Amino acid sequence: MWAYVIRRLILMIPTLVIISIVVFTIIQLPPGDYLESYIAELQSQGESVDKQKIAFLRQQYGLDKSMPEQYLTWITGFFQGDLGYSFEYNMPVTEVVGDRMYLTILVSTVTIIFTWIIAFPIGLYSATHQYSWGDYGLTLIGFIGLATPNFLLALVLLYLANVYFGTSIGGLMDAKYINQPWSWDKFTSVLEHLWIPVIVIGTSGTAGMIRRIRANLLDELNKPYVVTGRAKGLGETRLLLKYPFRVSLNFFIADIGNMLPSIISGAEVVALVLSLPTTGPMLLSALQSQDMYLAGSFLMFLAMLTVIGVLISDLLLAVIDPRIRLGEGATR
Amino acid sequence: MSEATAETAHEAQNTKEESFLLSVQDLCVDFQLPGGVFNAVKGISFNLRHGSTLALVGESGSGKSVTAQALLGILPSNGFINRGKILLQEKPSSPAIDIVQLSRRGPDLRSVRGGKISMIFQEPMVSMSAMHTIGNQVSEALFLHRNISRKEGLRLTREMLSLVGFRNSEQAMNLYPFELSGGLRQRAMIAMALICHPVILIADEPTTALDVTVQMQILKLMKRLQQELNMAILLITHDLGVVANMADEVVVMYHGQVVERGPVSNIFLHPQHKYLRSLFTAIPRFGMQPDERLIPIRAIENSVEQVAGSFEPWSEDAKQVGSHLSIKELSKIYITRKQGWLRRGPKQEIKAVLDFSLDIGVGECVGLVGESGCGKSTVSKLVMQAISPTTGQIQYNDRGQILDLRTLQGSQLQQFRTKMQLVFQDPYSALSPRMTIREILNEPFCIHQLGDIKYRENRVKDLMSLVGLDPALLNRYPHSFSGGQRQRISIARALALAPDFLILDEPVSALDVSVQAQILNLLKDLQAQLQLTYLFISHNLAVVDYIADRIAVMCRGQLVEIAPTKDLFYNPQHPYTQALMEAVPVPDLNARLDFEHMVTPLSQPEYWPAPYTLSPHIPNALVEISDQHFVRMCTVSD
Repeated sequence: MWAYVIRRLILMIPTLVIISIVVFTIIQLPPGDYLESYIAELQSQGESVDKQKIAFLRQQYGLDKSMPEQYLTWITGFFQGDLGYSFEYNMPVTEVVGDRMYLTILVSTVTIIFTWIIAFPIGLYSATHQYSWGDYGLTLIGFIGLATPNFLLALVLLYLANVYFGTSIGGLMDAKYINQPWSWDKFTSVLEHLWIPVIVIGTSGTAGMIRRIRANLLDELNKPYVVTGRAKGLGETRLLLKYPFRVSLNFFIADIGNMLPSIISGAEVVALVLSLPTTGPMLLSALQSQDMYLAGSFLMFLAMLTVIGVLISDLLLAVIDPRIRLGEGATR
Repeated sequence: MSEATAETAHEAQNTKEESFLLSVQDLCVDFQLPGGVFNAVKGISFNLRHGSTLALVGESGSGKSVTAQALLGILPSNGFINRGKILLQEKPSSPAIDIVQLSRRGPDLRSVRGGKISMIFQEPMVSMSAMHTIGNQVSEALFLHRNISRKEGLRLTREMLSLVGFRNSEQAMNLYPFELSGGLRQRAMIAMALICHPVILIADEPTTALDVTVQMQILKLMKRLQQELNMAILLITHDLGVVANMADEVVVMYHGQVVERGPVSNIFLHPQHKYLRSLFTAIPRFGMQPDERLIPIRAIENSVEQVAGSFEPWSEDAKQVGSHLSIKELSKIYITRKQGWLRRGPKQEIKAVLDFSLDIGVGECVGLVGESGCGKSTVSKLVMQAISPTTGQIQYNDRGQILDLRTLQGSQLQQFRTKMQLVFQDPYSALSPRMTIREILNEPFCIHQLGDIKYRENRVKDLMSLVGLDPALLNRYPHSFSGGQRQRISIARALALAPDFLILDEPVSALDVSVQAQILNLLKDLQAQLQLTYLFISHNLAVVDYIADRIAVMCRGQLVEIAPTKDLFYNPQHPYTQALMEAVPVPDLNARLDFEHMVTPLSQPEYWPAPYTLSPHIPNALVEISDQHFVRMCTVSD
């Protein structure tokens, strides 16, 4: 068991190295660097550019060095916890991301839990009542949820909340709490604002998940082992949960690898529309302004989470599915 | 219950129904299909007595499995009981329950299922959950139906597992179904069904998916447990051999109706109904006369004339050059590492085929017999050049020109493929469901770019009449044909390019007995009419006996005995051949299996006595003991 985990961990190293090179290359792909866009901006505003200051900055941030050197500086710093310096915000990346990260994790986690709570019962119901009115109705709602662009839903909910509840619900808290230390009032304010982004971000995920649970379960429901369980005298609910549902969980666990990075990135467009103080909009603007350390470190962080997430779901799969743990193929 | 009371009960059936354990009366089961209502079971009645075995016999689609599902209330959701009664009376004094009246999801029916009536299914692998341990699945019914502590329940489960033949029941509790062999899985399935000591066991084709020697053990086990637990068995099967060995009474079903019923002796000695009588003539038996033919229920009329032209007869010179196929010291060794997910085992050599030598003459039919996993299908793949051998030679006589099949490549191999064709076991998965029969039969011509559209169209029609199918059906898709018809289409496809050599890999084992006779006769006729050479692979000795000129018996990748058919059946030498033959259930009441004194262990090489012992240290080889009769034994005595 441990030998396997260690082998997998070692295998992660070359994977991450390759990912980091790809990430770095992609960030550097657009012509120019941050200072050039900075100069262009200054010039367009008619301000003079201090050549010496630019040269100083260039040297300060190592922009005059060759690409491989820049890459090495960045990646060694990254693994020492120094995520680099954001040109745009004029402070270290860790500080830029800081508070936003907690709020993002909060929004995403609540969204994921919301998705599960809604999707599992509906998926189970749809599969066991295939082609009933209930199934058709829920399917229709699900498809509408899938087909509606999230940002549109966000705008509609913003409007409705403003008209009927009289509150402005953009952001994640009342304006007066921004940049204030955490307090009980601030926390309740966050909770008040949380439900809109959760519903908006959650709908399409929920709808997709219902369809997947339904399809996976339908595959299992008519398997002979379900009939065996019924012939033993098991009640329908227990039968459903013990046998076919357990098997259909595999797809769900395999999905955890993708879920982990989406907890901290996720839903950039919605976050923009709702002006949420999460990391999504920040990543977008960093990419636009070629704020290379901020964007690069953030992308790298997402990649690491993906790799770790895949490892976690592989390990979990082995824990719940003996066929994987004991290697069915070898015994056949 | 004594024989006498049962007899009285039988006589006074109408007035004293309650003395039966289970009484099915005028049962009708309908299925709601898109095309309308389908009557699967049309008013059948039968009675099951305490401690006896009733066999429900019929071919697929006769409604026998549907009847069993109705008894437990586990019909598919589109099936429902239209009318009739299913009365269950555990003791003569207790009131009878009508299972039909119980709510399908209600607690009353659930207490019957698994508690009073339980069921074992045909395919133990898919009928058990791969995610739960044997112990969990076996004990489940116990905790559902008996109010006992966890510790006591687990103790009873271990006891039951030892009873069905697990040597280490403690270890078996924690195993998963996929870690067991087919026979052990079925034993676990039986343990699962019997854990609550039900009064009735429904066994739906319990041994159909198993090898003959394993089948014998399972049948023996069922008989022993029946006596120990005093339960009644409702045995559902299409195998009259199993019926002869197990049943006290027989009910024969045909198209959803009971066509004949009675004690087993009456059924076998004086079959009355046309269907039952023809069933007996359709089963291949040991020791049939060379010119004796099986009589299928519906014979096929096929015509060879149109295609005969493309199958040219062999010249004598070409035959003189050598055997049609000559296999020398062929072996295929797979090296695997047991890839557990969390453990990595050492490298293992799996000898799928070992030191395999066989000559097949022109126009001969050689039967290759062995149990599942013995490597017979690997041999067919090696011969077809689908996989390449580790060592050995395969030579093919292409009408006077000897080809070394291992050296064939590219266009030569492509050219060779027209000479040798394969017919698969499962006619359901061997034909693409997305192609019409015309497209399926056209494909060989397309692949080898033979003829124009008109030529192909004519050939396709000829092929249909060759296997006795109406060319008007060419536009249909495979799903609208029965299993037997599909197998005929497979045969037609194999014959499309006028090959000289056919490999038939279990061509009839997925078919009903009556259809099996049709296909066997068709294959026999085609071989004679078109001068074909067959390699006929099967696990069914009686089938091979009917069709083959010579038989080769295979065990664990090696040939253990080769002999002309008659020699092998009248004078089997090798212990493995003897064990195989002894385990075949014969539909003859005078030749029942001797459950008490069987030599089952001989089906495993570890138990073979000298001089047949297999040992890596002592060389062994096929030794000719009489004309054409080879047996594998040690060449040096120690």
